[in-house]
Amino acid sequence: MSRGAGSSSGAALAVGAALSLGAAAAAALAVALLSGQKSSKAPPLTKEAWKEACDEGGKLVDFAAILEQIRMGGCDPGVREEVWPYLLRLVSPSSTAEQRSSLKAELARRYSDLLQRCQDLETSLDSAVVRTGSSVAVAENTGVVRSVPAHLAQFAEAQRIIVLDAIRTDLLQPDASPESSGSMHGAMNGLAPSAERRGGGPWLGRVAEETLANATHLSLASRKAAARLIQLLSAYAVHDPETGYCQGMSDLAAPFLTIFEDDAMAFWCFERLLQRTSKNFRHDEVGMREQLRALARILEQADPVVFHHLRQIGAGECFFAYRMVIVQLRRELPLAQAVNLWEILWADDYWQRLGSWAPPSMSRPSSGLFGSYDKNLSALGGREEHFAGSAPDLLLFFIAAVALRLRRRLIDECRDQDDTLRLFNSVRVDLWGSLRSARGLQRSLAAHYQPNSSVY
Amino acid sequence: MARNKQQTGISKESVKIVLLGEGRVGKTSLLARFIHNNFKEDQQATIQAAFMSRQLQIDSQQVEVALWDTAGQERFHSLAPLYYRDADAALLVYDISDRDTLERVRHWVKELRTMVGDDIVLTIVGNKSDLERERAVSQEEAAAFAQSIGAQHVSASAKTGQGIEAAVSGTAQMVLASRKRLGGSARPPGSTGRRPGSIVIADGPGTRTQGSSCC
Repeated sequence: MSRGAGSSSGAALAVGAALSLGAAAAAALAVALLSGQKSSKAPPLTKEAWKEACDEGGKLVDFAAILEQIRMGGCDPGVREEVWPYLLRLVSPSSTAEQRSSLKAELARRYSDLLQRCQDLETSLDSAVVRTGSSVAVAENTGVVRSVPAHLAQFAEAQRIIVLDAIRTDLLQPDASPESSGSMHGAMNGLAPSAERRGGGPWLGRVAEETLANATHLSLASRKAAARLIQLLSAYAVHDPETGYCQGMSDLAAPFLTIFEDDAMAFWCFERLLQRTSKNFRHDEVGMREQLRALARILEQADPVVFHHLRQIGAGECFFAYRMVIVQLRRELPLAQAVNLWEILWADDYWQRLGSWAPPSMSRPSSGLFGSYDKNLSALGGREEHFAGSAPDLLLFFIAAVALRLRRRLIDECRDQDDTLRLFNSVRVDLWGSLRSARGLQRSLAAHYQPNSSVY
Repeated sequence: MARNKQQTGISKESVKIVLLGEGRVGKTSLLARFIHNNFKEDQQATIQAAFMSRQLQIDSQQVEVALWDTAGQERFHSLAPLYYRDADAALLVYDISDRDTLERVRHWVKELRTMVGDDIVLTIVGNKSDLERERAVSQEEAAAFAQSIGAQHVSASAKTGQGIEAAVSGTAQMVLASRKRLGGSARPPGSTGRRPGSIVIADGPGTRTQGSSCC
């Protein structure tokens, strides 16, 4: 292993921290050392391996082994469409092929119900606008139509932002690496042409129709992709009105549409992801503050020297990591790598929980396809349990690793919070190298993790 | 952050300007036009913030203008004070085809006056002037509003490039003028905030004062 002078002194600093501050420093040292290593990646889960993992009935034989492989190496692009519903706990590993196909039909029905609700809301909005004497054009221009019922005004407002965001979301990343292009093309070929939609296809709002018709700067394929994204996000806003739509969701949703040909599966997988992360989108921002505080605690425990510096310059609240947390590195990594990271994070979370306790589907294989699934679909707010005091997600360790790999620059170049924001805006993230560091941190700190340390 | 950098004895002015306004009004596009002279129809939504800077020549003086582009949607609100608390000026951007966005500007004015005070220079920018056909806010109304709060009003289009140079350099000029009035650079080099302790950010159960360097 060869390291430059920079990382040697980084290691020396970490050793200094180790001597003075004891337990925490092993992690800092690990990061300093690992960041000098050439990053290597474990092999991804292949289509062949996935096929072999199922018995004749389509049940998974050794799910833990599958998870183990994904959490180390991710998935081949071709296998994601099948594997993601498991990783996101939409589908139980103990389900049979037959059960899955009936689940799929049920999910499609429920998705189309949500789009129907969008249609109904739009119809109600139109008639409310007519009743109150304002023209539709005025309603669109002023967005929040104050004289119509709140839920309709909310719908109109969400529609407008969703449409504007969807057409400027990174839909078909041209720089997607060759390894992922297969599934991209697959998804694009599966799009329903808009003519078919008009002939009784699923709802797409009037604002969207008009905006897409005028979006001549977009290719036909991009417009189709944008239409699917608008449907998905509108359906989500209706499904979870408390969260509604927030910028950043389009970044999280778009990859699902490139991976799944089936819009309903894309929606319900996205919905599962949002069950874990919708707190990040809350109006009161409590979720984000919680996450950034957890990140601060990791940094404090992993590398007291860097953290002390951050506090000194007024950046101890880790706002520089806001975007990384809320859109889960989607903006910092190319699409192919971002989805790689996500599946690794999901598999890691699942795998960690397998170790300590059995998830509902494991303990109650006969109670539906996945224990909490029906409950979550039928009862809004039936969020995944949050385990207070449990160790943070690998995502936060990953972000901490990204930060600690920049420790020299943080210490040498950052004199105030602006500098940290600037540094993180332009950061280039090494996916596999940072993952190695993140795992090092997770191992060193998880055992000693103190959720209530003295950071704030 | 605006501060005077001593370089071989010659002080170089720098001005920090923050862009605020509802999501989708075109803040990032205005910046892209100002810095790179380009325009993308499908500019992605800003999630956190972006930073860009450019040298301007103002009254035969080199001025570094540091521009902070922020996330517009209200749900990212807690981030905004990070950017405006030590800014010299704010460009408050609305979309001339979208009346609500001017309402949002009114909110920003109130917040800035409360949180930062009167010496932050404000410029109201009506973006998308190329969409004259869809105009929903009249030039007169916006200009009158700007005047009522002691701000200038500029009509601009990130698409065509109209008005942006004027908005930024005009704003920088006003910052420099007000610095002169106050007797040189009011801010010592390396200071971290306009008025340490003046910005309060809600943080968990209580509130906490921002600005001091160590907690």
